[in-house]
Amino acid sequence: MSEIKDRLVNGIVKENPTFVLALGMCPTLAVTTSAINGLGMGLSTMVVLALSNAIISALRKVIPDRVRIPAFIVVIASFVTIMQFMLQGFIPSLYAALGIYIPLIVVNCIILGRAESYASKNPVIPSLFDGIGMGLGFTVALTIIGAVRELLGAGEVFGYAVMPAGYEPIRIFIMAPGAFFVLAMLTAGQNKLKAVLGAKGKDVSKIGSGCSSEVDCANCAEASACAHKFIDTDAVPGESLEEGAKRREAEREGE
Amino acid sequence: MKDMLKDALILFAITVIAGLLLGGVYQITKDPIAAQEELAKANACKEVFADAAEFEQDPAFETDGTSSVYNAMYPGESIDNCQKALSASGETLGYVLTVTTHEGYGGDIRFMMGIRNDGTLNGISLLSISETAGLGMQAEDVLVPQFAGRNVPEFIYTKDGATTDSEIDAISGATITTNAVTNGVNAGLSYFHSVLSSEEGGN
Amino acid sequence: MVKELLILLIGSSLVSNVVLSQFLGLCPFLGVSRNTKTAAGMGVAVIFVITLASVVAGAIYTYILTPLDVTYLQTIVFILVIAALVQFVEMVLKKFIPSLYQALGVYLPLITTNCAVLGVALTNVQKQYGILTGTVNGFATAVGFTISIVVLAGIREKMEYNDIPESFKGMPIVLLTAGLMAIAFCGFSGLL
Repeated sequence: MSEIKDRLVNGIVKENPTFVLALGMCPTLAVTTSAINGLGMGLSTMVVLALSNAIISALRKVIPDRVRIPAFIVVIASFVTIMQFMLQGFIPSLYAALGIYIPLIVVNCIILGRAESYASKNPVIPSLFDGIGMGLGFTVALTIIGAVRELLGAGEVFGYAVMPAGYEPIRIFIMAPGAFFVLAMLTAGQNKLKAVLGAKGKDVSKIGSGCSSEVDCANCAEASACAHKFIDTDAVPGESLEEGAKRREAEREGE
Repeated sequence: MKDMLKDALILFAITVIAGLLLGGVYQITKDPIAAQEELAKANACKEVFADAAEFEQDPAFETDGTSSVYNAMYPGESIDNCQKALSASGETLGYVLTVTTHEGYGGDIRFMMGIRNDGTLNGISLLSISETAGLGMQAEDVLVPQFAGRNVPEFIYTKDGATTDSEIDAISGATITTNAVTNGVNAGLSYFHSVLSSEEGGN
Repeated sequence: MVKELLILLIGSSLVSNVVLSQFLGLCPFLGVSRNTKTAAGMGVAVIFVITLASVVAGAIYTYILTPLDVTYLQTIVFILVIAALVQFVEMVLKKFIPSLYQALGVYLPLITTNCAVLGVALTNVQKQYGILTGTVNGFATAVGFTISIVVLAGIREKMEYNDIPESFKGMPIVLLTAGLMAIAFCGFSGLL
């Protein structure tokens, strides 16, 4: 039970995909034009993440390590397509608002990343809750960013006018440039927090570990995690997903 | 080689199961999705003809409109459907046309327009539009209200500030979208004046 | 027809720029823009992959998915095809044009699961472009990506010599720069 609580707290706070790991930037910037859109996208991603984590974990002894990427893709894309139909049939307003970003959940680095780093070597229930936790963290982040943009750009939150009547909405926050600005300020705040906490001696290695370091992708040590090959030629033939994942973990710790 | 084959087979099995599952969900959600589209259309009808009690398919509507006057003048638009707007007592108050303009920047733009018997355009309601966010997508806020309640045979758009009833303010930076919607409306009006009013005996 | 394609070329590369307006392809945009040479390399790789992917995805949609009435499989099929295609291209380059592989090969696996590639394939279907129009759209989109990533790299190279506040170093200043670029690109909307 505490394992479950662990997973949830980890996903929402300790390793929050947006604020801490800086993963999944594309949807974060694209759909946070309002709080409700951010919430909707976050929850949709959470469902896909939780279900695909669970299935991949259940199949971790069966999926061959060498073709794990296409296997992940098939599982994740199936759930995304199912989610797409559900939204189209039952919540058409959200479907119209999120548009092309629903199928793009497939290539959301968070989902592929979690499958690779957690679901591939852990049992089903913790994997399920890891997905729920990460998904909730993502949802919280998107909703907050969406709320900030909606507040500044339209004077409303969740459609309710919050700003005083004389407030002139700063339209740019609802548009593309505004997304970059809001995220920039957020990340700057995160860096400041990292500096402050680091000075106090706390472990800040996880903050920004996803992508926001100064290193170029071309020289990045983690590039192999972002780089996905259809057939992983570095994998050992005949190993299952779990075996390969554990071997890679051992290799990394050995470094 | 044997490993390769085993890998491929397992992958294939996973894909087949996923495909079947998806096919099943598709069948289940097919109807709700269709129902949603119908609902959207019904709502749009009401939006452009609020005082009509019901809408009836116009039996005289020909889907092959090559012989209609509007098609020669507006080759980039098509009239997809025509419905009569009926009052509670069954008299025809006007018509609701479903128009698709193929001249949109991001693809087709579909909308409905409600025209009263005397030629007044009640208004238009966008059904599907996928123009550039922040530009063409402003059609809903900038263009749609301008078409409400005017009675002119044809609209033209202008970038210099509309002064007369038949002028429409273009969306700045989205001339193509403005042109598409205006042409679509004009095609509908042309269809009304050439085909529908003559049916009614030239009301 | 040509006029439409020309409008599409300008529109997809500048007016609704894939990164600065549609937010697709952000990972390589932010991560491979440190110097202009690598940025250009990434840009060319992206043009290569997206144009090829547009053709293949368009062909599969038109000749396989639609006749069999299984268009709902498009997401799965597209991303699988793109992933396989990229690796195939990588293998071919490695074997037959090693110099090109040296320049681009390292970026290809990074582009595989990139939202820009899948995004373009899906957009082509959504807007009901044919294979030719879809390919032009893909090419234009990728050219737009290259323009923005090279410009950003140029700016970042210059910024190396600037005195940036501690909290803003790294991602924040890059994002702010991207935001300003996005504003600049908004100006292109007057073109059409």
